[in-house]
Amino acid sequence: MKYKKFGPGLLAALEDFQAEGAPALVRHARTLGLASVTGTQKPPAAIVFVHCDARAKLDDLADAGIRINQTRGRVRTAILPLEQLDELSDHTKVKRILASRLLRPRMDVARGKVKLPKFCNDTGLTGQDVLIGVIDTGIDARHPGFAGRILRIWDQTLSGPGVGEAAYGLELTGNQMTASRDRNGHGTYVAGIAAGADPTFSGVASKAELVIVKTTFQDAHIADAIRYVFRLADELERPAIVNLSLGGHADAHDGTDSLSQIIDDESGPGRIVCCAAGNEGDDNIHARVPLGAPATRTLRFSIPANAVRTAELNGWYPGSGKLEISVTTPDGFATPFQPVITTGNFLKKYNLPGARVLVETPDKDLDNGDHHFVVQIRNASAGQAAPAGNWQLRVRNASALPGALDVWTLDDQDAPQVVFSDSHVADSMKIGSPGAAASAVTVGAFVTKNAWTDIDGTPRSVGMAVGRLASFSSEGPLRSGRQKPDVAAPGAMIVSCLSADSSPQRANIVDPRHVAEAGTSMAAPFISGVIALLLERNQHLDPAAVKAALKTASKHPNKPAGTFDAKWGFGLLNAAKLK
Amino acid sequence: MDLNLDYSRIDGPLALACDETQPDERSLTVFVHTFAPPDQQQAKKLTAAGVAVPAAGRRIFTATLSPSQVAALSQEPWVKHVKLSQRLKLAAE
Repeated sequence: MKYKKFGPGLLAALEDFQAEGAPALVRHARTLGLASVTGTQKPPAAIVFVHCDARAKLDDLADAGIRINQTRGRVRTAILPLEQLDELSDHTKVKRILASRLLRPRMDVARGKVKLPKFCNDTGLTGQDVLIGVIDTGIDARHPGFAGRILRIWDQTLSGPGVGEAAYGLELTGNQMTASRDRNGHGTYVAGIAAGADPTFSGVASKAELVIVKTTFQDAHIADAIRYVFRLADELERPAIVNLSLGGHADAHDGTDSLSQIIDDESGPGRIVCCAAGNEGDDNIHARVPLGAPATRTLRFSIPANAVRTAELNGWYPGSGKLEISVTTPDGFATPFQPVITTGNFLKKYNLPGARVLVETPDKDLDNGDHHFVVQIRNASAGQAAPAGNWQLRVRNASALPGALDVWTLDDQDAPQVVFSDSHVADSMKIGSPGAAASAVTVGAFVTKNAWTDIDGTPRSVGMAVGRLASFSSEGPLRSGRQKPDVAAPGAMIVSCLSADSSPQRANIVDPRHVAEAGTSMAAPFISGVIALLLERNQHLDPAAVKAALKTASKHPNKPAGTFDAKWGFGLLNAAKLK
Repeated sequence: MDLNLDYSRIDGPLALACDETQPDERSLTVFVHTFAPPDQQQAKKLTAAGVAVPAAGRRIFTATLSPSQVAALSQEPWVKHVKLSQRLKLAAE
C-alpha cells in the first residue's frame, strides 16, 4: 500500500477498519463518503476522488473490479470496497486518493447560528406571497434554486424600450429571461441567500417570488429600479423588500444624497429597502479632522503605484464656516489655497509637475446645509496612472469653525487603493449611500464559518475568526450621528447559488451549483429574507416597525440588549426572539 | 462655449462632468431635484428635456442629459438642483 497517496481522513478510516472491522467506520461515516457501513451484507465501500494526470489510462483497474467513473480528467471519482484501496494506491498512474466529504447544507450553519430554523418551524413562514427585489448583477434564471419564482427581469444593460420608470434596458418574462446573463455571479448568489430553494440548500424565504434588476450600478438607475420593483408590487398587491448589496462613498454619509432620499420617499408600509453596510472596515478610507480656532491642518494620504487612474477626496464640514483647500504632491509641489466659491464656476484645474489636480469648492449643499469639496488627482499625461506616493491635503480656516471635517477617499478600483496614512484615520462613518438612508435596514456581517471543502476536495479556510463580527464590515454611525448599521447577520463564509455563467475562483466553488463567499453583500439578503418572513405575517409593516422588530431580536454578545454598537448595530439577530 | 450653467444649482462632480463633455452629448446620468412636485407645465419641460416623470407627487427624478440640457434646467427657478449620478460597487469581499 502506498500510504503517501492517501488523504489523512481516509487513511484513518482504513486503519480503523482493518483493526476493528465495519463497526469502526460508523464514526467516520459522519464526515466521509462511506457506503454500506451498517445494516447491509455488502462490504463497506469508500466514495473517493482519484487524482491523476488528465489523460491517464486507468482502465486496467477494471480487471481488479475497480471502476473509475471517468476516463479523463485530473480528478475522477470511484466507489470501491475498502479492501481494494490498497490495489488502487499501487497503480502507478494514481497520484492521490482522497475521501469524498459529507457536505451539509452550509446555509444551515448560518441559519442555525441565528435560530432561523426554530423561527420557521414555529411559525411556518416561508415568504409566500412576498416579493423580493434584487438589484444587482442579474440572475441565473435557469438555476433550479429559483425555479418558477422569478417574475420579471429588467436588464438595464441590454438595449430596449425600458420600463415605465425609465426608457432604457429590456424587461423579460418567462422563457425570455435566459437572455439576461449573470456573468459576475453576485446577483444569483445574493438571491440564493434571500430566497433560494433546493434539496441541499435553502435560502431564508424559500417561497418568496423574485423581481430581478440587472443594473448598470449608476445610483440613478438603482433609484429607477427601486421604483420599478415597488410599482410591480403595487400592481400585484404584494408586500415587497428591495435588497441592495452595493454602495459607495461619493456622498455626504448622512443619508441626504439623492438615492437615499428616494429610498426614504418610496419606503413605507409593506415597502422595505435592505442594504449592505459596506466592506471597508479594514480600509483607511475615512479621516476626521477636528476644526476650531483658525489654523492650517494637514491630512496625508497615499496613492499606490500603477493602481488607479484617478484618485479622489470627498470632503464635508459644517456650513457655519469656510475652509480653503490646497493639495501637495509627493514631490512637494502645491496648489494655491482655494476658498469656497459662491459665484460662478467653482471648479479650478491645476497643472503641477507630473500631476493634474482638480479642486471644486462650491457653496453650501442645499440638502444638508454643509460645505463640500472634491479633489481629483490624475496623471499629467492622460490615460496614465495617477502619480504614486504620499500626498497631502491642507485645509485652512481664517476664522473659528466648530465641528469637524470628514474626508473619504475614492478611486476607480473595486477594492480601495487610495488610503489615508496619518493619525487622522478614523474607523467610523464608513457607511455611505444607500446604507446611509434613514429608512433602509442596514446590515453588518458576522462570521459563522471560516472553512469549507472546495469542488476538488481540497480543504479551504480564510483568516476570519468565527463568532465575531467580520473585520471588513464597515463601521457607523453616520456623519449626522444617526445610528447605523441596524443589525448584524451571517456574512462569512456563506455558501449560496452559483451562476452557471460566472467564473469564480475554483477554490470558492463548493459544487457545480454552489459557491462560498464573504461580505456584507451576503448579510443583507439574509435580513431581506427575514423581512420577507415578517411581511408574510403582516404585510403592513413599515420600516420603523421592521427595525423595531429586528432590534428587539438582536444583541451584541458583550453588551446589554438594546445597546447600539458602531460595528454590530443592535447586534446579531436571534430569529427565535422575533415577534 | 459658455453653457450658461447656474453653478449654484449643480454639484461638484456634475460641474466637472459638464466641463469635460461636449455640450450636446447626452451622456450625463443625473438626479433632478425640484422644490415641489412639478405642475403640468413643469412636467412637460422635464419630459421635453428627457427626464422621466413617471408618477405624481415626486420631487426627485432621474435622466441622462447633455451639458446643454443640464444648463437649461439649472436656470429654471423651480429646479432645486441637479446632481451627477455616481457609480456604486458590490459589497462582496
